[in-house]
Amino acid sequence: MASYFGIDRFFTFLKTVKDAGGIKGALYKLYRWIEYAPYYGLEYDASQVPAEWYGWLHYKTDLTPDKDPSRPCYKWMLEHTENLSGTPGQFMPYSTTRPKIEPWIPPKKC
Amino acid sequence: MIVDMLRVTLNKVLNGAKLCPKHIYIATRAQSGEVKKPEKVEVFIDDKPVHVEPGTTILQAAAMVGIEIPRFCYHERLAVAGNCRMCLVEVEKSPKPVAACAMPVMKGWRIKTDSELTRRAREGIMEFLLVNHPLDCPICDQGGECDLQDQSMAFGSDRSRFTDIDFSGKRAVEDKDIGPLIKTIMTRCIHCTRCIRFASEVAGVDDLGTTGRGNDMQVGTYIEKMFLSELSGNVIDLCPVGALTSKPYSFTARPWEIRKVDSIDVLDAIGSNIIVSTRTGEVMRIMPRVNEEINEEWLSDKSRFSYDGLKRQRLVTPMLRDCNGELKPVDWEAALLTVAKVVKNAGPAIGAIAGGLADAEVLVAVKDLLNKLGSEALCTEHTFPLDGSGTDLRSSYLLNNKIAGAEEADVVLLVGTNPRFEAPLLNSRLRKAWIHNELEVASIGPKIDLRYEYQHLGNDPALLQQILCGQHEFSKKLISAKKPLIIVGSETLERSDGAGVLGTVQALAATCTGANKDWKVLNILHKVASQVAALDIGYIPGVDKIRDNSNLKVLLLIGADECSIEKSDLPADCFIIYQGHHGDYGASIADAILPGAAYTEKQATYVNTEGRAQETLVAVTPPGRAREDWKIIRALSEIVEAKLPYDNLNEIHVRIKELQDFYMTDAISRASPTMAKCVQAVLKQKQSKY
Amino acid sequence: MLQTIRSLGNGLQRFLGLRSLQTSSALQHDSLFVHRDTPEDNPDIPFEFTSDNKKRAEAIIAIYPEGHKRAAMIPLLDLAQRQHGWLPISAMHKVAEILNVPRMRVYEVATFYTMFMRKPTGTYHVQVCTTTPCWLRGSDEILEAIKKNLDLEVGETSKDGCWTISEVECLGACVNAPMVQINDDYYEDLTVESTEEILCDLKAGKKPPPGPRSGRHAAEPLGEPTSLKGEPPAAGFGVRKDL
Repeated sequence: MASYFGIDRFFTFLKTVKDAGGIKGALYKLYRWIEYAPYYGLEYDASQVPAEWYGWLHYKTDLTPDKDPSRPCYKWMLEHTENLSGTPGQFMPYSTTRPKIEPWIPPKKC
Repeated sequence: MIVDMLRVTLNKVLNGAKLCPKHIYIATRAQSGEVKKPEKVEVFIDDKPVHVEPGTTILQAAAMVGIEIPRFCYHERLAVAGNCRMCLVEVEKSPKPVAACAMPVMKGWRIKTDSELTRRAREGIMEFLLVNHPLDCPICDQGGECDLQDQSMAFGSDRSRFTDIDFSGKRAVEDKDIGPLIKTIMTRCIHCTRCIRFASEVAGVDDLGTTGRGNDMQVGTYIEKMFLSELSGNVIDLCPVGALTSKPYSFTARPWEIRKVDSIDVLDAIGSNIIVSTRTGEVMRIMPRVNEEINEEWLSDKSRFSYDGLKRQRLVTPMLRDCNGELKPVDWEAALLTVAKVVKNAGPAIGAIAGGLADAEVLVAVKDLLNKLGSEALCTEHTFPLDGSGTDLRSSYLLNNKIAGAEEADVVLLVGTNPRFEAPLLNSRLRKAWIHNELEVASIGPKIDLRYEYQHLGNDPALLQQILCGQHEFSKKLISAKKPLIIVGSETLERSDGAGVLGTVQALAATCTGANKDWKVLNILHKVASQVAALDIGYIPGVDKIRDNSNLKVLLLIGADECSIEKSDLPADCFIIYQGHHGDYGASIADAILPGAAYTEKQATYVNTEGRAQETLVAVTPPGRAREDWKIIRALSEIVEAKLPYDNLNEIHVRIKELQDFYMTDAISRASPTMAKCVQAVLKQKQSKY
Repeated sequence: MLQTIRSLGNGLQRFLGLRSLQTSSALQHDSLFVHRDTPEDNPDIPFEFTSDNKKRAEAIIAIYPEGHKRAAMIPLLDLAQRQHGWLPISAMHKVAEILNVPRMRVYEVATFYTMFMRKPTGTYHVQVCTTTPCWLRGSDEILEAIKKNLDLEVGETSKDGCWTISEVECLGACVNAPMVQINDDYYEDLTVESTEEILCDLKAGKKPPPGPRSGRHAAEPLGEPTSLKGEPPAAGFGVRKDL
């Protein structure tokens, strides 16, 4: 019943139920969902879904981003990135204060 | 002018005239024992009866029943000045309020410390003080721990009558430059003269005083002169307002954001009790903690201000010397494995030298490790003569008569020591005895300024022999003295003829026992904090044993930085391991560096020169990958398969007890920029004309 | 507007009888209470008592008992000031050395007393009293005349180092107001003319006699005495007969 609907550039599968049967209301929330790519394993996270899929995923529109002609597209818009907090890729501001401890630097041998 | 209590004006001069009772109370406890106890008088403080000795001031009597009278100028350890007037109280039938700090009680007095008159008097005094005090608490370093703030909250008026908002005439005083340690904002001064009295009475440096009079009076030095005293930092604590604050600490932290940890100072052998104030894992300042037996409530400048050295030149990661001969940071695993391999290969050909800042725990751990490996080559960096009774008898290397005991002495002979720099707080005790107790001091050694008068006998160790034989005029004084003290500096004993000096001194001490059997004449003053513990544990003083050992394979330096041993003294293939917290001489010659913790970063035991074991507490964590010293040795022992049988501090303490039945002269100060500034200041002052 | 509100507020405060304090700006002393090295006054300039003054100093010190020798500080400082004309820092150091006290203790005394002149002062130190009785009797004119005559302002010293004018508070000769003190001598009952005469005499090297210029003796009335003219009565005068 479920049919593959689209794949974004992060290898996230987006699936949709084409025909929800007679009890549409009960299944309404299951109408559209995501299956993450096996690449993510258990490390999946909602921020991996690109922002442009938001409207489709929340039933604001039935047009997927690639088929939506009215979707704005400016050159200043950035590529979507997932939230990297808690991973080695997280953003770390570097400190501008002097270090509390100045380590000893061994004298160079001449 | 301050009527100071110099002995010239009192004891010496009055030629046996009796001291008035007021002075006896100000004077030391040393004196109180000798004064015949007169009958007690009864007074009523807020209707609470209290029996006190005649001569007790109202303020002291009130303290006995737990009533604290506000004060600014009064300080228990200084002469009474009575000039702040904050301690005014009402005495029944007295027409005016009286100053409690200076008024001795009379029989049957009824003192009201919380009457309407008293409160109004305090409010009035507070208003006068605040008229000429700037309202700059938000930018004042004393803010939050300021007596004036606290007392104006408690006793001041709830509204201001100060109308001069146009800045037409509020008193302003120019700031003085009294050195790199003390910052002065003299407009805040309330003329309590505590600093002047401290300088004159305790420090013995009469450089501070009041100039001018009336509204123009100011506390200062008149000329441009630095306050060069080894105890100068104490005026910061004494100052009830923010006039004298610490320069290195200025604008760095507020009292309510710091965490205070009780600890022990290790920069001299006195072992002063300190409070380490930290914030966000950084030592912000060090303040003294009251311990009547050791440091009273003073602290020497070195101990107080060298804490910034704890943040510089630190060893934060293990290092190994690579094939190019450069020390390169490595991780613990690599360092320990390399060191363990070398140690294992060396077997019994291993030695250790303990430096001046090593704690008892690491000393024990190293001793146990080396003994397990079959080595006995455990040395301390500072030597001590082994001949005679040497280090077998504990009393032969201790300040036996205790630091507080120095106050009671009547004749002191200093042998090759400068207590002013080696142990400033012992020197302050001697000065106290000199002022209040008719102490006579004589010194053999270089001529120095001790801040009190003393008889300089000469600089020849042969003089000791003369005194012993009774050929010297001083020997009569020493033998007839009731409480003589001989204080020998450990530096003298490090000389080649040290053993001879110690032998003579011991013989001399045996001849003059004094009147009291418990009185101990011979006292050794050590220079470093670790020495007594090391000797207790059984280290051999001096590095000769290491130097003579020609097939030494591994040398373990535990914070040994005094250049006592050089690479040329050791076999060429000797592997040097340095374990310590500062990169100094020891680290620069080492092949492997194991970063340890400084005294503010570990819980460790130190034994001071009088043999008192005291414990430091962890104020901040060791920086980077540095670890507590004994834990490093413990870890190493496991890898070299000579596992030490203790896993925590309690167990190692048990081990110390088993072993013993009782219980910029260092790398930190050298790394401290504040101390460097002091050296600069002293040099500058030397060039000055005053 | 703000002013109005403030004055209204003040008025209200007064009306309600709230406590208020009258303030005027505090007067600061005209001399400095810290030492600054100057070419005339620095510790490198040696100070030594003359041999006469050394004897005097010994005599002064001998007055005080052993152990209280420091009480000789004020007389010795005064001696130094008389010798040198004013009190340089090296003189204070000398006194400290003689009495074996810390230098700071001498600085304290020297700065406390206003009669120790710690900056260069002229040979003739003209101290004009301008306190109320003298002022009522015309000390302003006297001061003006002196300033004009010497071409100096108050607190200044003439270039040749001869004259210094200072304005002082009551010197205790109110009965002979107005008066000036020149060095140790009081010149009293002054008028502008007599003041100028005194200054001219001093300039000429003469020493005008101190005392009142009005011709009266000391503080006695001008002309005839008005009371206590007769012989003083004998003992028992005016006592009840029956006693």
